[in-house]
Amino acid sequence: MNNKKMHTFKETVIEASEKAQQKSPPFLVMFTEKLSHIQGVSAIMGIVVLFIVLSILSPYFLTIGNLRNILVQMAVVALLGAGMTFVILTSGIDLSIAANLALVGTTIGVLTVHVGVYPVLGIFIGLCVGSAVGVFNGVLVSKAGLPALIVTLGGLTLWRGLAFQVTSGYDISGMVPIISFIGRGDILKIPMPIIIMFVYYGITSWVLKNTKLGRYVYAIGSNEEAARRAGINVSRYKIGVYIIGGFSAGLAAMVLIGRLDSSGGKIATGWELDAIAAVVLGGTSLLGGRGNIWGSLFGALLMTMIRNGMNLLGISPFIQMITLGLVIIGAVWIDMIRVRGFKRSHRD
Amino acid sequence: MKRILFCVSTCVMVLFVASIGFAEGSASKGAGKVIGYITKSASNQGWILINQGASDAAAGAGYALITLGPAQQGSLTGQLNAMEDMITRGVQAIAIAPVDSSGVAPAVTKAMKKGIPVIAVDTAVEGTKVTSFVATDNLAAAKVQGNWVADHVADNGEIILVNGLIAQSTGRDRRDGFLATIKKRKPNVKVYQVSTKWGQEEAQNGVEDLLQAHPKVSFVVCAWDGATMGAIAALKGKGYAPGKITIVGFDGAPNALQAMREGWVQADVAQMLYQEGYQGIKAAIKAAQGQKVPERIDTGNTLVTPDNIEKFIKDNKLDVFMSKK
Amino acid sequence: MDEDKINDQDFILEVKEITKHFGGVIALDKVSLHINKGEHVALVGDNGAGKSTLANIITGVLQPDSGSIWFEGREHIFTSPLEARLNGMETVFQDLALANDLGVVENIFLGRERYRLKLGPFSILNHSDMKKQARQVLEETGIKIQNLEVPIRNLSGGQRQGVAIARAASWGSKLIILDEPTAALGVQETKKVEEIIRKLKQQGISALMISHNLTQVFSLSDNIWVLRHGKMVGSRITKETEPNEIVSMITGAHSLYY
Repeated sequence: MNNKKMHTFKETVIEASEKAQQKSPPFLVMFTEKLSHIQGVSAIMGIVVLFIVLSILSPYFLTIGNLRNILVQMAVVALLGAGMTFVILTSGIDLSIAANLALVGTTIGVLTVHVGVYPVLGIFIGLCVGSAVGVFNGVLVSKAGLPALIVTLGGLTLWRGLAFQVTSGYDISGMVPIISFIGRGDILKIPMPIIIMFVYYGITSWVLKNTKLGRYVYAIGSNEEAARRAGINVSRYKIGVYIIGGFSAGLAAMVLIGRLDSSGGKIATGWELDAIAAVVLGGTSLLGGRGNIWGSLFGALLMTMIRNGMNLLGISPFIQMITLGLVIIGAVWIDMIRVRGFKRSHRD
Repeated sequence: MKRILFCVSTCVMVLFVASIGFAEGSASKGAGKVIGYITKSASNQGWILINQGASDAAAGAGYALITLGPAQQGSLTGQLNAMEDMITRGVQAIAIAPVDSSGVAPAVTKAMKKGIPVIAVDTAVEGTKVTSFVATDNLAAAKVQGNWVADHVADNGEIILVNGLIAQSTGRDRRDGFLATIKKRKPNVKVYQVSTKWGQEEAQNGVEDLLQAHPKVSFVVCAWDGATMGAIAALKGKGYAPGKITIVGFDGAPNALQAMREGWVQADVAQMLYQEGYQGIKAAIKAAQGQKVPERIDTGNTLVTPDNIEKFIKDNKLDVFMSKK
Repeated sequence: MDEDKINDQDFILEVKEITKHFGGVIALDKVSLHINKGEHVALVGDNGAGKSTLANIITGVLQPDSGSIWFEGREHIFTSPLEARLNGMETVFQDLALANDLGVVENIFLGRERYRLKLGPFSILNHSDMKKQARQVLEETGIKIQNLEVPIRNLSGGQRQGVAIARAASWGSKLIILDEPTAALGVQETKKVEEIIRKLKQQGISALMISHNLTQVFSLSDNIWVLRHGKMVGSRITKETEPNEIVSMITGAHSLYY
């Protein structure tokens, strides 16, 4: 029996954060306790603050055109973030998601532009490729028991290398009309990336809340052993979340190459970290079991607003990086306090 | 099962180590005529031209060319590691396109101290001497850009300038060369700047944001053709027709030239990219043979417009790179 | 294999001469035990006496080397905890096996959710149904939790233990095995959990409790079985014995007899 194994790694981290909370200034604890009901509250707070600040600092910020730009520019990272949320909720991680995006993007590009395959078929194949990478990740993590960090770290270079190979290192300029529509078209004046983003978030959040898959994702992330003992097929659902991650990468790829009107092995370099940041900013715990998907949308929005503001104000990209880093650390800290504080005020 | 896996992986590792040994052995046998070439990336279309020139130069002189690039574009550590490898292999000379002008200085110093001549290609090395610097004179080329824009922009016009990474000499020179010229000739023109790390997506986002904020902008000037493509995507996204906003490129990359054929780009200051690679490796070979090499080799530039684009493409054998539309 | 042998006594569980080796060490040596229907028995013994091993064998986590087990009059040794569960034997582990970030309803229905529509992994959960049933279960078991939405990490130890027990009880369990149910709890909470366990008895659910706490053993159990060094030293009817006797059986002041 596992009597001795009471202190899992997760419990240790939670104890540590409890200690951190005891050392935090009381007013901060009280303040965050009041807001404790909302997931991803730190991202929302950041967005509100930034909104006010940028509106004051730049006359161009608060225009419909600019706000529309922000929503379009955040779409790709938001889509990656949606897939990443599922993976992180099971206390996994997918560092290869952006490289997967590049692979799907180059595959679709080569098939539709160079080979001349029917665009819809090309898209279908692309989504299959993305999902197949997900299967690869999922199987290695759940059946072979390899740490997700390692498998997807390898994938980071593997899939991107394949993406470059597929195009022989060249960029493909000019996408087929349906892809261009996905990236730059609109329905009723609303740009397609925005529609796709919200529809995908709507679907995935419903799945997380109301289906077996969603419930088991949270269960596995919260206590994998308990889930297993309850008879849940943990392997199957772990593979499932990585497939969702891969599919999301495929969807994101279509939007990105549509927007860029080009495809190549280097697109979305480094964006796996942006995806993770969006998820973390959104209040989902890296340890799994806790979080929601709309938070990731707010996380992506916050990061894009920072970038947009810096562009409008002409601030150097290095200050952008510093700001983003500080925001992420701050958001995680506030979230940790929020969880601990909530616990104290709800004893029987 | 686990045991088998362990045995197999040990065998693989042993074979791997052994093969390195063999590779080293064979390299040192042919060590007589080897030039090391460290690139910035292999994915930008402009770079494919440079790399082509480099390999042609080596082949023409009967030298082996070892081309290494950082696994991740823009990785300084990747380049430093590559330099270390080449020094260890004992190549006759090294040509390098630095990701960071001052960042590679220590590795360059080390190579020079060991008597290995170092040629900087396309981007300068700062903080230490190199045998020769083979590149477009970016300041001069950017001036050409500035003059063309000055010729065509209204006195109180508005311009977006998309810069590259200003931590690199290339980025700084192109920005400074352009700004100095435009400020002198048309001082009332407003210039809105975008800073990037040479990323095409960054360029696109920046152009979108600034176009939104400043609808009167009539020119977008780009410090490299990745930005040119990004600017075009931004315009397409807004539903603009080609030519509604004048785009001025830099590099003369095939996809930008194709876009010029389609009416999106009105001028492009082309680097003689093939020449950069070619002259760079030629200089490296000369230095390796102990001959004197000029400290600065300017590979020149050509202002490409719709009037002379077809001639330019033909003269520089770019046909093979143009897309088959 | 033997045919199903029908046992004529009214035992919910009968363990006959179970032996288990771990390498050269004998963990259990011809151990026997029985539980009457509706009875709550305690299994006590010092550390290393073999209580956990015996419980693991009964619930199917481990397999014995020899001996037989009879559940509800049918001879069968369970080969997995899942099988035991499907047959009406549930275990409440010491670490509770609860998902801390999920709420009370989610935990009670973990692995056995109710659906509106079955679509494989996309089966649609029936939230209202589960919530209603959960409330019922909690009431029956006597656990007081006002807000079912909070993650159970935020509940007290006693409430969490209660949820774990309620979960086991609600699934048509005939026998619940409790491993140190109040070991990690304070005095107040222990009392509450003991109340819950008493309620289980009222519902006719049999129980096997592993416990170090003799006061608790005396207050909750009908029979006490004592293990020492892998051997069953003996059993006593709780009403007819007293703590001193049990202690001396645990430590070995008594010689071996049944």
